[in-house]
Amino acid sequence: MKTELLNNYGMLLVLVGLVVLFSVLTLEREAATGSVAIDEVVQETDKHCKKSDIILVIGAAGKPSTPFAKHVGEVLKQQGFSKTQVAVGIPRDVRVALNSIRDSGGKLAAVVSNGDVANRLIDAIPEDFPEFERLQVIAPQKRLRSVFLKPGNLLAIVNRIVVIAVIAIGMTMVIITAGIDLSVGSLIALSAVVATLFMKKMGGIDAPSWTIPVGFLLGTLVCGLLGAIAGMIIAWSRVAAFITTLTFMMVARGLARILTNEYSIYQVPDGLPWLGRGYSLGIPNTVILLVILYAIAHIFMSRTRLARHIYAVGGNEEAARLSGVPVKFVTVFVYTISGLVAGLGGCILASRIGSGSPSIGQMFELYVIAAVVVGGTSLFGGSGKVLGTLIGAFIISVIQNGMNSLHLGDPQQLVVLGAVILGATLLDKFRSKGGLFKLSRGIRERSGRTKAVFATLCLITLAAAIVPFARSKTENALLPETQGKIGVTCSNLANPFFKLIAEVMEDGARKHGYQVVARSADQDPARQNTQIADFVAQECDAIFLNPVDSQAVGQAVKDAHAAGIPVFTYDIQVSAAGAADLIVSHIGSDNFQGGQLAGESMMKATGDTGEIALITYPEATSGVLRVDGFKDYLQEHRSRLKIVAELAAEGDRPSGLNVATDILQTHPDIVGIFAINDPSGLGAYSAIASEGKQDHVTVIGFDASPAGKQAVFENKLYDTPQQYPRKMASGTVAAFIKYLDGEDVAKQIFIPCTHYYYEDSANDDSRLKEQW
Amino acid sequence: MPDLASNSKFLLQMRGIDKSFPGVHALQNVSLALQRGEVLALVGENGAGKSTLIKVLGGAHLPDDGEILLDGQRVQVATPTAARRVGVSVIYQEFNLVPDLTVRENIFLGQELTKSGFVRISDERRNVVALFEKMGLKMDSETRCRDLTVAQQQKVEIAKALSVDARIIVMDEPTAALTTQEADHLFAIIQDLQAHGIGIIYISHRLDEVFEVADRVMVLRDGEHVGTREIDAVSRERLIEMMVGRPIESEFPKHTAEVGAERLRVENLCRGEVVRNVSFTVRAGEVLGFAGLAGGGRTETMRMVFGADTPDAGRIYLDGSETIIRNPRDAIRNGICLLTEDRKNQGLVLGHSVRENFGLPNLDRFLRWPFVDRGQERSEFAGYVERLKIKLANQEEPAANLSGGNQQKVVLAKWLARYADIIIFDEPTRGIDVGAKFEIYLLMNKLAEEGKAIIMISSELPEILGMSDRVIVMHEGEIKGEIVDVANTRQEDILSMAIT
Repeated sequence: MKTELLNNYGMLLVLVGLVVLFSVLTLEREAATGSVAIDEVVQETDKHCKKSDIILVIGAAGKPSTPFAKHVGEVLKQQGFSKTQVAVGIPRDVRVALNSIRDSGGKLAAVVSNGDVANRLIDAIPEDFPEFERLQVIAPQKRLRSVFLKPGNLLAIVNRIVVIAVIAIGMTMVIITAGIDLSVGSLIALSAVVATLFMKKMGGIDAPSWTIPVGFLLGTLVCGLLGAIAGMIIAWSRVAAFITTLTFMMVARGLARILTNEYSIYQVPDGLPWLGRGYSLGIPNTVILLVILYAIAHIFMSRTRLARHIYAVGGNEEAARLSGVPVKFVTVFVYTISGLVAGLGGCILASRIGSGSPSIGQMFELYVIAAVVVGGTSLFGGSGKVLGTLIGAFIISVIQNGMNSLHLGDPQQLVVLGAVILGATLLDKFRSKGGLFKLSRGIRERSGRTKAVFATLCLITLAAAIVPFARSKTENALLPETQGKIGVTCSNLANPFFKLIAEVMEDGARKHGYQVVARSADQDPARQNTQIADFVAQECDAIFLNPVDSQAVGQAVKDAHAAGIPVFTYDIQVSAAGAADLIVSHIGSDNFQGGQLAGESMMKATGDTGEIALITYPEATSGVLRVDGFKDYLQEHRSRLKIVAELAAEGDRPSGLNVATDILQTHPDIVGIFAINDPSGLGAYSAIASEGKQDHVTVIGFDASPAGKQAVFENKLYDTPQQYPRKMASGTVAAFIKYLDGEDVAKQIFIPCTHYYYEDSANDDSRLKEQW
Repeated sequence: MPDLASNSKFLLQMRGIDKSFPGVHALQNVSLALQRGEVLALVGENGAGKSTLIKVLGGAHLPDDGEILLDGQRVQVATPTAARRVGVSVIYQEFNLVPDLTVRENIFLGQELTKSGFVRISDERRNVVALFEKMGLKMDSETRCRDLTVAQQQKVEIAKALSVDARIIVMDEPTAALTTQEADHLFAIIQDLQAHGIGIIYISHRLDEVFEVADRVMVLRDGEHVGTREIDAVSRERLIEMMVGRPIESEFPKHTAEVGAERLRVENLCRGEVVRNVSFTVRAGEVLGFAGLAGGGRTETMRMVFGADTPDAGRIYLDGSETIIRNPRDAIRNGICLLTEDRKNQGLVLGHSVRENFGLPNLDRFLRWPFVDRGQERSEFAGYVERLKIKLANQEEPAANLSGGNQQKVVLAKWLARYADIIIFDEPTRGIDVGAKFEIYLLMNKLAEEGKAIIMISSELPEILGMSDRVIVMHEGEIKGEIVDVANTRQEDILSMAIT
């Protein structure tokens, strides 16, 4: 019986092994807040202070140190320390408290905290407040704890995987019939969009709460319907499932984008987050949902007739048909279920991020398939277990979360994740040949060479997985005692602009003793939300945020704030209601003013006459502001230029080339093109050059990226209003330090753009060094 | 070394071979010796261990114990490639041809004639033509194997074995898919091989053939070596006794049941060129034999009756009233079942347990909504296991692990549990040993006595004549004749009916 369990769910061992590994690797000394710690600081205070001394107990907002501070304050007062004050809040609140003590002429004798509050401010007290001589700083002993095993982090592991795990139920059934469903990632987006669109139409933020379940139902049913149609096509036309669902993947994603006009929908009622973030009876709803769905699926797949038919169709379709199994019905059924759970997954995701975005769920189908296969289901059909899939999903989630806890970079994570999935699958194959515990016997069956190949493969994958762990661990050990860590998430780290910002931030933060963990959201709002959730679970000291979607990020910002983590934005602002005010500080280019500069140059270069075109990027607010500034300048100066085309591209060269080619076909006489960034401007230039019109059409870009600067030097671009990413990065770090020092921080800082003409490029050292 | 010298009179010796699988002791201390130019027939019931022994020799299985000697020298055959290298060539019962490659490409697969990485097609073609000439084969070497008949594929397999310089050739049921004429040709090839000093191990259930080609015969039963006899020193009856372990009175225990009312009537069934205007009837208690050559349209006709394929035209009457059968579900609902000739691809889900295979068409009966009552399924199946004498380690054993005869019994059990009125057997005893055959014949009798209508397609004329109450002969999609007086019909009569 025991071996049967292990043979069916051998992956459980892998999962347990990973949990143990990460628990050990993430052991850290950490400030304590328990009752023992309270007794400890009270005794310390008693030993060092007189009852008449002024004592300040401090706690950080949203953190365990708040109840700790309040409790310590009460106990001290009870024991007769009548001049005890409690200050709870951000560093600024602590400074205010210190100031008022000084101003009232008092003399502070001791600061009591759990050792993890406003340390930078406390360290600076002897300098800033020389009158508080002989000040005692009292804090409890730090205790060894595993970051990985914290309840908050364990919940983050569940939340990270809940959508994938739910969808994997349907995928398991599909794969057991020897099929595949590639459309689930797009169905997530479609469902999220349909559900939130319904809520928006029913009144948006004021919509009655019944619109939430009805919207979810609608989104789920639409996806179920699409799944059913795909299933019918597969069953009757015999077109391969791979192709059929590939087309549905495109169609569903396209529909989601059409329905939303490419913007995310945030006009939703307050109750939306209940499903993905709420609690019932003290248990997170996502956990309840997972348990219920998997229990139903497990019972269904192990005990019902339909499930038998599903297995039989995958095991041998012809034999099943000749035994009277309704093969077509079974096929339609599994794809319908797959569509329905994908729809449900979309609703959960929409609920988690509090909005409906058409770009969520990309690549999800691959993670879902990986979870199913790691869970032991054969891609050839006929065998597999639903609970195995749940284990597979958790393996993936634990690896991702664990690597985040170890601060591994995205590229390293991809390598490790791929290697571990491969290793786990190989291990499973190994096991199924002769039983994991009969490995030697299984090997004896094979020749020496096969054995060696297998063993080597397993070793290589395991080594590949472990080397980066070990490396990061030693690196951590070599670092001087860090003050803490800062989470950075931006829309796309592959873009040199953001890469540069992240690097400058890293350097700047290190000078102050902070470690930076930079993550790329790869233009996916859901991914960014998960990253922020990880930062919160790992208790980062600050989050530097460059939002992919100014609306969809709102909920995550609220969560971070509630956990007492300050959020700073750069380049792009958060505009979600209720979240924008929570941002400590924003620093970015003055895109509107930069757009005005572009307008000025355009008028100058064209002699202010003729037809011009704009290549825009409406997904990003910065792009919208640049276009607005451009138009504003033209209007203000009563320009005679006529904008004949305004087309959206994706901010890269290929799409800039395509859009400009189309523009030149319909408007052959244009004299100028303004593109909202350098890549799309350079794409436009390629289109113009291939028509031989480079002498007649002026192209203006934006950013003064290294490529843009070079293009200006080569007279391909007339102007590219310059942004200052270094200033943005160092400004953000400076704002954070000011915040820690308890000083006032400017809510918004806009860095003006400047022209970048040929004359500027000629002697520009940074152009030659290919720098920003 | 006198010992070695005396041994080397044998081309091949296998000594004390032992092999176990989970739950089965497949071979127990089995020894075998083969001389140069000798044909050694290997016989035994299904599951007796013949295939396992051959797989050990061919490098597909490693033995747990024992040794293999070639010319008195101990050799290691750990992989099929190693076996081929020492000169052992095995023609397995299941073909190992790649359907989308040509005959030539299949013959040279893995041993292509190449020059700096390029295949020397013309050289290969020359070799194949020479080989085919030697074998008396007329076949285009550039035909894709997908387009060949089963018999032609068999010959390609033999050609493939001969193309390497084999010293020992193992043939596993080589005539199962061949016509009498083709089989005669094969025997001529075997004689030629013998003359060249090649040793042949010949596995067959057809004892006539064994007596025709073999020099000696070796019998296995339940993984044990029962005995080896000179072929002239053993009678057919004695051989069957050795295989089964008890005396058997008659090969075909025909018992005629009382024939009742008409159960099934088929009128003018048509499907393209394959089935043309086929009409027939079957009555309760009757065994209707369908004779003819493979590809004559018998299987195709029955697939339409069962709803597996759609007819172009034709009517089906059940108990006198017209019934439309769209798919196998309809057929099963109306009490028709079909035991397909291709058990592995159409009859069973090989990777699933025998219990699940048994349950598949019967789940509606085991349903205690919303769940399948596995206990009931298990106990009912246990009844059939006992009644049909199915050899199993346990009910959860994958169907793939069973021998051909036991697989056929599992298929039979799953249909018997449906209490069907009309049972269609398509080649019910193909690849099944004497003992199991006998049991299936007895079962057929019993079913007829219970008033079921039975249709039996068979290419084995003795079986057709031995078991049918009435025989229909089909050829090229048409019914060529009907024989009512089966007892006084000879095999030649049916053959002449089929071919003219």
